[in-house]
Amino acid sequence: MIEIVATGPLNTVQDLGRPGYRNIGVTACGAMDTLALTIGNILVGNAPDAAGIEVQTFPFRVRFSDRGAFALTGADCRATLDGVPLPPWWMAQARPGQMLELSPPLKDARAYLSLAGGVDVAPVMGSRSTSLRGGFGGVDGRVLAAGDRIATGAAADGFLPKDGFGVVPPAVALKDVFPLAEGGALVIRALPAGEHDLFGVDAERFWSQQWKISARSDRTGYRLSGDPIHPTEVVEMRSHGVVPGVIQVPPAGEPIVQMSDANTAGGYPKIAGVIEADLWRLGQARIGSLLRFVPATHAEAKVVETALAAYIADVRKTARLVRQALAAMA
Amino acid sequence: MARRDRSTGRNTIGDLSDPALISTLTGWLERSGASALEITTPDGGVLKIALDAGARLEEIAEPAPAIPARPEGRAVKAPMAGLFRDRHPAAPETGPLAGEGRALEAGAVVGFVEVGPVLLPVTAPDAGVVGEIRTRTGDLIGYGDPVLTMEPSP
Amino acid sequence: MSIRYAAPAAIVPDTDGQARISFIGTRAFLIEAPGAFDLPNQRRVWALSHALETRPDVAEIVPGMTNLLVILKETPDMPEVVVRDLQEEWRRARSVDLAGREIEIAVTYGGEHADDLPALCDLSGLSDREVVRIHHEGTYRVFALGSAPGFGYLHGLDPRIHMPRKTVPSLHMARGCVTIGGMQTGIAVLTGPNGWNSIGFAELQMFDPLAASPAVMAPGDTVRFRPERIEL
Repeated sequence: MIEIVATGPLNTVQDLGRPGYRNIGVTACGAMDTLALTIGNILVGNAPDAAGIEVQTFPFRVRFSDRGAFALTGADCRATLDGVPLPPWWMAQARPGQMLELSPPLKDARAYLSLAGGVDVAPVMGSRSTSLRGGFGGVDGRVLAAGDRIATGAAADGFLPKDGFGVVPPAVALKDVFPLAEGGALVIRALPAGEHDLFGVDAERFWSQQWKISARSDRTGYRLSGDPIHPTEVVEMRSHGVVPGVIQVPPAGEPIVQMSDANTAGGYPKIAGVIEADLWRLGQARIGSLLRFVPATHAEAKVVETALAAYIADVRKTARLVRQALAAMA
Repeated sequence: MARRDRSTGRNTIGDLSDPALISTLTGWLERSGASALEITTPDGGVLKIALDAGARLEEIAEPAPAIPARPEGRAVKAPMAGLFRDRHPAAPETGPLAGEGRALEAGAVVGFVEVGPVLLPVTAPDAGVVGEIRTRTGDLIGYGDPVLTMEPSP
Repeated sequence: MSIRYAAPAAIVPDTDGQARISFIGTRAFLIEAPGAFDLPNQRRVWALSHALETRPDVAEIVPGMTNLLVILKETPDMPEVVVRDLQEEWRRARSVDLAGREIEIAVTYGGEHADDLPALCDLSGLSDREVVRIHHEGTYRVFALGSAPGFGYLHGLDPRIHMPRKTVPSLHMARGCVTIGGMQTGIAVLTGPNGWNSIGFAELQMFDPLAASPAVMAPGDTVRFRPERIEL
């Protein structure tokens, strides 16, 4: 059990999401950076579907009521446990009464707090993710508030090192696979979507310019600001299913990238769709930061996915090995 | 260069839950000589955590004589074999966590041992001042190897 | 045994053009039916949906308005083969009619929630009574669910009361508002911003996340509106 002592306004319980119900209009939700949540769960020995807390507003302070292991992944929030700094992407053990404090990150947008045993809230339609729009999942379908007490499930058996351990963050370990553009813009790979060619020469301007993530961006979607683009003709669009990563262009000409809380249906012309393996990086992009879209193919996306899966598998296996070896020496 | 390239996506570590492998590893750790840094799994996979293993092994094979017996100094030892990092890999621009002469609290992280993608902390057992740095970042170290020495706070 | 062939008029031709297939990211494929926004086309989409459900590589199927989004479990190595297969499935898809349920919904037409009824009267040149009568005399089919949990897009709206979506959405439309969006009608399932035009209100809760079957409506259902009250 932990108690939320202080929290910003938009922090929620999330797991890997609630896919499979888009056909009845239910948004998948889930962590914006599923990679960070996945690694957090590995570090504390949780199953991959365990829920954690997505922290995107600060300050965030929790007090541990019981002894328990936790992990912090994603954005480096210069976390401290009773004032002692913790490295990023790290698992540690808390004693009863200890206070964990997260400060606003200097880069990246969202941190994930994984608790051994996972956040114990009732799954709704197969997931513990909070659906703010639907008002269900997580803690009563709402954002976390000071005073909330969060229960955890039964922690898995197995040794966790007393001094904690962590991982080489994916931004470092996979830096060759997820490069930055010159000037620090995030390079996001995307496949041209249904109405791409309708944009004519504006399609080239979509790919060539840097887009800025506007302040009107959240878990639902990122509104991008830049030089507007317009289709050469107005087409009648019939409402159709969409997935996170779809880049739609409303009449004003500034694209919107749908994210984890995306509506299940869309009707604006869509110029491109972000490859799934780049969505976690987009989930860490901050308001005001710059993006460049790069056209990709399925084959290129597959290479990125494979590298990502290999990193996760490597962390899972090596973490288990290290825990077993340390247990044998303890 | 024997270190595996993560970006290729090829996982060169075999099934590490395999008891035979664990037993091999544990035995190796107990010997702590760091002389067997390549672990071959039953399926032929190899866990390599060494950069240029042969050359480095000579360095770390020069054992105790290199450690001067300063009576007041207390060695901070590596918790496991791997590559020593004097700072977190995500913060290369910061200085080393433990520079000579720096005062540290008990339990402070003075560096990391990198084992594949995993980082283990090297922690100061007691409060004190960093004496001599014994391991450079990027060095391959064995279990129990001294990373640095600490002297009691003046 | 004799085989009876359907009358030619009932045969859905398989030569009426290929579906349009495009990508959304690496795993989602959007199949758009050529031709009109009508029930025969939607029936073919339902047939396609049914045919694709059992494919082992399919994670999720999201029927839309004469279109279908197929989400695969993994990024395919050969997307062109997937496109070819989907095109073939579309070619084979025959019109099916879903044995939907009949849902009758009690509506208060007019009143405090019918913010856009006057504008619809202006647009259509009809009186409010005529608008209400035309709406509740219609028989509607649930084409698909989407946009919000349990929201059914209802097809069959009389062209006399078609009304374009608003360019500036209402910020706080109440859950339960009976709305018109273009050539479709529906019932708002969430309170919040909404670009459709409200002409009435229904008490029915359209979605219960804790129910075994959370959505009241399903594609193929027939919906009728019963005017419980008319407040004009």
